[in-house]
Amino acid sequence: MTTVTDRPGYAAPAPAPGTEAGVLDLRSVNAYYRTFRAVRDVSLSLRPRAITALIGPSGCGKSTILRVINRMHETIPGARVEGSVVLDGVDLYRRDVSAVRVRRTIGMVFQKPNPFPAMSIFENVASGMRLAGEKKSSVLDGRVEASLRRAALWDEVKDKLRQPGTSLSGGQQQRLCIARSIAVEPEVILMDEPCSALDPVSTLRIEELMVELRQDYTIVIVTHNMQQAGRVSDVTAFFSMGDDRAGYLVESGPTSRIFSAPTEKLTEDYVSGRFG
Amino acid sequence: MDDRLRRLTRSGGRLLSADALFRRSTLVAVLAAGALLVLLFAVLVAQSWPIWADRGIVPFLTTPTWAPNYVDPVTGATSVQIGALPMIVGTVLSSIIGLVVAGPLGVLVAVFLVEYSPRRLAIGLTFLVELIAAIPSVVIGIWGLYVFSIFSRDTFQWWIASTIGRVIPFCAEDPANPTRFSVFTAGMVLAVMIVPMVVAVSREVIRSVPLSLREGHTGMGATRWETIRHVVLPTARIGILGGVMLAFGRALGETIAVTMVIGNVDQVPTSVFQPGQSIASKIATNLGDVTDQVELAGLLGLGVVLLVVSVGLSVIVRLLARRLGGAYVAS
Repeated sequence: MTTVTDRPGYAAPAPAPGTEAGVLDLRSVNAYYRTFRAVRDVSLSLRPRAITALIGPSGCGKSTILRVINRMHETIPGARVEGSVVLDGVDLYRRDVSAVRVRRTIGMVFQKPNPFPAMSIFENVASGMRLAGEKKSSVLDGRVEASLRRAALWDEVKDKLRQPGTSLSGGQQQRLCIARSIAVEPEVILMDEPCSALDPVSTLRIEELMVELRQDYTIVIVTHNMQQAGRVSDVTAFFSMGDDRAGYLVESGPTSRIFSAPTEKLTEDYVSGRFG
Repeated sequence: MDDRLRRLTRSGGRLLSADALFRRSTLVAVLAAGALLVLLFAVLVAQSWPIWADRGIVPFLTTPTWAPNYVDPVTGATSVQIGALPMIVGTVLSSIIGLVVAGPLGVLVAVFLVEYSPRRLAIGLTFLVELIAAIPSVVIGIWGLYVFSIFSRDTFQWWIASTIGRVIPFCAEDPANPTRFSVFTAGMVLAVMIVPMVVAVSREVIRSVPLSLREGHTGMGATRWETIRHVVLPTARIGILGGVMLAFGRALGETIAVTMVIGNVDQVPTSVFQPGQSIASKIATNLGDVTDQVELAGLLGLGVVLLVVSVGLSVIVRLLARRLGGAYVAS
């Protein structure tokens, strides 16, 4: 199995002390859908400028955790969260914190590419900035181009920025969605199985992009694909489902260790493909 | 031929010929339905032929008076002056009023039902809206005649006429002669009748906007309203437009309720607060006791105009729907 250690270029650069932004702490997080507890008592620290992969069998609450982080979980009727998610010292679930603001700081890329069909490629990328109140077209033009370049999409779309975002291929659409989320300069990017709807070539391009984006963001990715977790992530957190069907964190640590020498038997069984 | 082989050949089994029979009978049914429309159109055109042949299409559509025995006030000479213009203007104006009121209202109701309302409330409200659609149009006509028209004449009609009426054409009122029988009242009656249609279509289209798109926008830090405005409504706009046009078609052809309140005066109204006449109301009021052959042909000619406009509108909606169907292919 390929791990980070096999590919030296993937090692995360050590951040300069005192300049940390995007430090994310989950403290005793419980997530519920009405009375059903989907996530039990998860505490996890996420490092900035690193990719953390959340892995585990279906139904273990990985996606729910992701949606708890940017407060998308609560948009589902009856859903609620206990515990706290702390970003750079601020509890995102504090009463006076606005969920809308949180989502501008913590971007999200979804399983299925979801460009807005009524918007052009340009408008898709600009939409987040417009939400944040940016009106100057010079600023918008510059940031749209920079974001598309960053998402390695600029050369493919620069001549058709006015065409609908849905006219692109699946892989391009997903890169458009990544460009859209980085255009608002978030601190954290959450990716919920971003490659599960894509072909292998597109998947590779997205993975390269993630590794490239790691320099500036805290990236959290949910994936079913353990090779992917091994290829791109620095830290892996393994989740499983308890007897009460609630997902919980089994263990987390550097990806190389989780894949080569996990502490828990359950983790070993999963990463070696014996269950899940 | 071997018995076993025969069972496998096309004409061998009885099952297959029953299938063919059924397929053919459905084909006949489809052809009959199509023929009905063509036949209807042909008969209407044939019966109204004198109007098209003797007076011509353009004069018929643009003559602003309806007088089979027109007496020239100066010369005293009589002539035939049969024109569809008063009815066309009355029909279009009243339907536009209905649309301007029912369109935004219906879309807002649909947005509330899908996006904001708790599920149980939505079910109850949807039922209520569907009940409006079940009200016989003559009953809505009674409401227009005895409740709405009096209320509007005595309260806000003058206010509308003296504010909006100064800017938008056709909205001024004759202050000396306020009337309850007007194109405006007809339009409001139509609005009540087409609101359920706008709501029903918009609700379905809005609901069909995928959750993934809403979440994509919410996940970028958009409020509920911003997502509705920037993603949901734009994505659903073609479908909503289709629903609104379908409702417009319904308004164009509505007869009895309009006949009750529009005033039935064959004049080209210069204001919506004047009495007028719609195509359907003209046919309904006059067809029973018409004796003049030319006038009869004129009334049937009005029918042709209405039919062409309604069918044309419905074709446009179908074309729009096809475009809408392709909208999600790429996403």
